[in-house]
Amino acid sequence: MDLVEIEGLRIRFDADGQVVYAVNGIDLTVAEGQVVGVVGESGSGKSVTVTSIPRLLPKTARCEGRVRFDGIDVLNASAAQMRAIRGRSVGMIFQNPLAYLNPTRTIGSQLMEPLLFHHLAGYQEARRRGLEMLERVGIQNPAARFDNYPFEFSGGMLQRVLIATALIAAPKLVIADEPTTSLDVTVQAQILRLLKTMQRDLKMSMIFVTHDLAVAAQVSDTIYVMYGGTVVEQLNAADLIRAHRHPYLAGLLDSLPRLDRPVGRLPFIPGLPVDTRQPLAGCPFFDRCGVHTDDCHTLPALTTVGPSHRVACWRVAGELVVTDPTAKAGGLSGCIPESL
Amino acid sequence: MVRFVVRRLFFMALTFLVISLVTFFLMKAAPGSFLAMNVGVNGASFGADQYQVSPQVMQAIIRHYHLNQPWYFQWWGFVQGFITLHMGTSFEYPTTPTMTLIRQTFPVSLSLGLISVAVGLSVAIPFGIIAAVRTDTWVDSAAMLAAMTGTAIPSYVIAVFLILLFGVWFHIFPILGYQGPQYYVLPVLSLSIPMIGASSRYLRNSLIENLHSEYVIAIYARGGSLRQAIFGNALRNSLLPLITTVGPQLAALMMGTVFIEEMFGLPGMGHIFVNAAGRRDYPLIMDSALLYAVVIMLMNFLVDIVYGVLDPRIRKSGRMG
Amino acid sequence: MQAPSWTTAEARPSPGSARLRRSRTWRRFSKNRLSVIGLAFIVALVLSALLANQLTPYPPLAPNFLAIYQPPSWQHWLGTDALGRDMLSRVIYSLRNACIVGFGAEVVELTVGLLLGSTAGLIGGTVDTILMRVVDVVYGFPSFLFSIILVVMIGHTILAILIAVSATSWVGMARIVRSQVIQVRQSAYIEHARQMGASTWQTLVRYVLPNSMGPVLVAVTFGIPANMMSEAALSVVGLGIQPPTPDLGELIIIGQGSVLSYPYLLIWPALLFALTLLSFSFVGDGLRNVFDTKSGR
Repeated sequence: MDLVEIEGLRIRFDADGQVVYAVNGIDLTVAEGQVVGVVGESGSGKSVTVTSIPRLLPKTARCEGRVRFDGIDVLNASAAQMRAIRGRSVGMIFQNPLAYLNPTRTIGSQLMEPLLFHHLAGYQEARRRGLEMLERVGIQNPAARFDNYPFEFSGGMLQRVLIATALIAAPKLVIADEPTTSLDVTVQAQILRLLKTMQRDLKMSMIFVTHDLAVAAQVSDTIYVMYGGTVVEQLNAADLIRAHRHPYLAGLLDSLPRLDRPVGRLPFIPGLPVDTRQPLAGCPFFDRCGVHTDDCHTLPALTTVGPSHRVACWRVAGELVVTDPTAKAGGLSGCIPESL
Repeated sequence: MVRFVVRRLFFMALTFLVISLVTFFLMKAAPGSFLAMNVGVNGASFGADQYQVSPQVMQAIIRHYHLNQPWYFQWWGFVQGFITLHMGTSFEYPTTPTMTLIRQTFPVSLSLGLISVAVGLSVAIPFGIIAAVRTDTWVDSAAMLAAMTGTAIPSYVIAVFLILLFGVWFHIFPILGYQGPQYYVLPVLSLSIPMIGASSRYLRNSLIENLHSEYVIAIYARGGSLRQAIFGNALRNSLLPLITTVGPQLAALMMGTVFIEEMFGLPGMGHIFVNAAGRRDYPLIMDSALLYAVVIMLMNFLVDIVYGVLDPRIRKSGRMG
Repeated sequence: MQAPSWTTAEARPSPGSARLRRSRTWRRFSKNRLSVIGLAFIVALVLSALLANQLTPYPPLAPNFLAIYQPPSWQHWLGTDALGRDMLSRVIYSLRNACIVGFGAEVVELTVGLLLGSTAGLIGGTVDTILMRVVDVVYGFPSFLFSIILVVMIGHTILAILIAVSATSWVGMARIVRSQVIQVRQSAYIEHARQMGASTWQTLVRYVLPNSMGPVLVAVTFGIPANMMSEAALSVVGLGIQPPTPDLGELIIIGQGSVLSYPYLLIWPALLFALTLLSFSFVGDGLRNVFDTKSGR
């Protein structure tokens, strides 16, 4: 059995009579020790999907479907059951580390919380393990930094602290929600490397949410590409360049700048993202897709097209083989730094 | 932190000088001064029978306040006397040194203000927490309606309703005079109810905002409970800004004591000030205005220092706001 | 090298006609029923102030020694006072004075605040620093003492009281206007307008002021009752509008003096005054809901 099993998940937000359809039927699994990359633009529902695993969505969220974590039915579990999971079996890393730390408490006191909340250690033991963890994530002189406040750290250092906090109780799963988005490019690479190393050393599963295809390709085993609150394609990271099938993903890959070609005008995907205020009718990519057919007025299901490769597209499902004008040899090698 | 304190002290000194200058010139510009009513040209004629001021005393007053010298002498005379606590006597009470007058009456006003702040805070904090935790329930609505009523209505109107309720209809508390602690109950309530309204509302909103902030989500993500989120984190972070409102609240309360003393017949400084203003008693107006200004500034200063010590961001960086 | 993240196009602002926007404003305002009741009360208050001469059953200053201390009755709805003057008429005239000072002082504050606040916010630099230092110092004034001193100096006319009340309270308005101006000025569309060649004055009148109006309007709604409070407070300490002109503070003090024998002399002025202040407060809250996009979401 997989660690995370999400089936037919739908999430909408209902605030003051205005409904937002954020997630429109998603299947997603994470095996033990696996790194799953969830990629999509803002508003595609990727953060909402993964936040539903530790059930940390705002009160206005209405969820349907099934979310299982480690055998627990998350959407129907009791509050106490969920508290027992959070911080202990699931660690969260967020986008903007400064906002996710209490500004008036030392980082040390917040770092120890997963151990203290779950009575995994006494204060002295928690402090010792906290110092050890800070050391492991690359904070210099942890003993001195332990009693510092968040505002005394740089963004990259804070993200290291947040990683240490998420991992201190050795969770089975760590969810990293755009952990590098707010950081400088050089720091981004360091943090990615750190996350990947920690994940391997602690033998955890990881869900890595990002809007950056190249980053996802670096850290993940499997990639889920989301659009309009649905998964449009799921494939192995290694197959990303070679075997992608969905027009959206093709457009994305095509709009990446490359080093192995003269710099010209970058292609882009015309049109606007999906209006999430309407329930989804048909393929979410319909308006922007260059190759849509009449079938596309109904929502395509994820169809298996190869080993661990699924696509939600009528064109692919109907074996409508169209020569892909965007298909190219060479791949992403120009964009992606050496594999981690 | 030291730099912050020095800067604040400098601004307080500046504000103090400006207030003294403005007050001084306003009084100079006013028609019909006390002395004009009592002293003719060259201080020769005295029409001061109704105040029983003897010519000798009048001469002494003129000398003491440099009334025959340029304005800056007069102004500095006031300020110097105030700073060194040698304020001399006022026109209205030539036999009682102003300092004695202040010593007799000011403690009444100050204790009234301080007790009201203490009562206000100790009621407002639990009130605010309950309303925040029970958001959008009838408890919250009722608390907030009460808070709004308290905020919108000034202390002297609240005093009216308290007088009617406790003094006239139920005869529980005395409504006039000062002969014991029970005479303080209604004045303190009148002053603290508006503050309870304002502070509990402030605390509620700030607590709700904190409870929806990202760092609280992070606490839940680490396995924390609502109680841990409130008492370990959000409450502390909401009480910090509440502290900064205590300064202005206290200033408002001190002003409130002026008419509350008038309504309940308490022998406080406000009463003295109002009388002095009505009689154009320069020295007393000046001294009491400066006294109130200094007390209010000092309170604000203390509150800011406490805030600076409690908030690590300011304690460590030394910057404010 | 890092691939650039793709961004979504900014959500387009829905054009929406002016009427649509107005109806939305009203809907948000009227969601709080108390705000609507408050607004109705204020409208009634202003009307009764304007029509005081027609509305009042008796002249407010005319004594009638045959009818002193009459409890509320059909002839005198709120009773009569020690000189047999009709309380209803006196309360209406008092509320009228409160309105004159409340609205009048607010006009003064608004003018001064808009002038200084937008000057400081638009010019910035040294001018801003100096103006804001002045504001800081005035903010440190014990404002009510200052009003008292001013009234003593200038006199007890309505105009003097109006000046005394607004003398220090413009400070808050200046601060709000300045922060609004700076906020709007730094926003992207002003940048755009400037690049398109709009002058400082044009940006001020066409963009900055209209977009700063929300918080200013809220501040005005809370400023008016604050002025009324100060005005009545001056009368409470005997330095307001001079008797026999009726005034709320004075009615309260006189009522308090005879509260044990004639409580109705105290209840009605205090109650009507409290309701007036509450109405403004409710309306201000409603307006805040309309303009505060942060919590209105």
